[in-house]
Amino acid sequence: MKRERPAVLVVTERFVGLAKTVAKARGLPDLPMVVLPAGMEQMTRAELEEVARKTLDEAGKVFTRPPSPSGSARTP
Amino acid sequence: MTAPRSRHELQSGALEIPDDIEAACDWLYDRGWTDGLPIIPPTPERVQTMLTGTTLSPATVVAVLDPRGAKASVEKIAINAVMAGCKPEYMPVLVAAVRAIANPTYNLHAVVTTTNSVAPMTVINGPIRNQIRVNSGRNALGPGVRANAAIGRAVKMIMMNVGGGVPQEIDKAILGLPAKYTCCLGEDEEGSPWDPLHVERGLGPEDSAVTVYGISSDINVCILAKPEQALKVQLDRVANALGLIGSNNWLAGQGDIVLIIPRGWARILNDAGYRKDDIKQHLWEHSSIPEEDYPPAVRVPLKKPEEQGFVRNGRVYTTNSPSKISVIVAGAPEPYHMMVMNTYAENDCVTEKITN
Repeated sequence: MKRERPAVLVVTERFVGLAKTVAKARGLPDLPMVVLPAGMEQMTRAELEEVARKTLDEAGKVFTRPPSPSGSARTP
Repeated sequence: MTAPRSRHELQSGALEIPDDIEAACDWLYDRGWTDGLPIIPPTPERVQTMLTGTTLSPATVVAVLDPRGAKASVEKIAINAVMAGCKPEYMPVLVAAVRAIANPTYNLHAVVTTTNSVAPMTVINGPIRNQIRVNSGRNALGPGVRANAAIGRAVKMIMMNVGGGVPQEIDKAILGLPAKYTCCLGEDEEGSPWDPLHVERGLGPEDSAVTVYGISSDINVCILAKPEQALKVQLDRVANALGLIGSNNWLAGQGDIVLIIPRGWARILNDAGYRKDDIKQHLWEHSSIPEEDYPPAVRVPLKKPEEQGFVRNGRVYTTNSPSKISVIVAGAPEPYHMMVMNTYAENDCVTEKITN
């Protein structure tokens, strides 16, 4: 369902193919994605905090980028 | 079940496939369009023949299948039916099964994409079982009968090739399940003292129907004592199988657990006064455990049991209600074994009447 609100998909690297399939099926082939590394269950707190920082940074760039012609920002 | 009909214009794109059967299988395998086993190449002639098994037009869209959001037309169903080794008279079963898995209640997206090991299990009821020779007797879940093997295989291939549930890329099961290749049986209605599954679920005994489950494992429950002397022992063993901590049954208090009882056991249970509802109630109660035996450490953090309503009066239950345990009669006559099919827990079974 399109709500005309900016959105970014956060997905682990092993699920990127699935995420792209679902986004395309829902009519959002350009849905921007921020990709997380797999295996976060085994990361230390410091490693997780680093992932969180990078993710927020990337997501922030997506939200502040001009939208693509199809109405959503491009995948980084 | 096969209706004579004229040839139709097929909508699917034509591809040049090698004539040699082994080369054709390799060609299709290399494109990820098989389940790994050899298939029957879906030539236009074979697809046309398959389409004689239904009165529906090939262009009819039966359902839209997740995760790809693709239209499952009758033609696409027929193509996969050919590949899986079906006969034309199986087509009405497949059409109903596709309607069933597309029902939002079935939660197809989750069934196909989860890291859990989940397989569709198709149960066939009504007169069509005998018309197309579905096995509901000995080895009902084993090999040897084409209808069971091919229908179960076709359902899964439709999920893959139409719905997009491609193993590895989209189907993210950590281990998978042998039942993902095929899992289909009929209910032994003739050997059952009770109402068949589809009647329990609101259809008439003269109707034919499919019910599709999402199962995550099968547990054979064996007894070596005389069944008449061991009724309670056996039912308690079944309850243990349902209540196995670590099984998906404990994930969410959701989903349908299936108990398959051979006719010999069904007769003994019936003679002892048990009907299907009594068995469900017994198993539901006896598979429950004290809340202190289900500590947070073993819970999956996705759902809180108290939010799902399966913690009551200090006990935790595998399902929200006894009605979420299905009892099916099938298998050989000897009352030696029963089988529990544990649920995936994130979906519910769906029954569809077979019409065309």
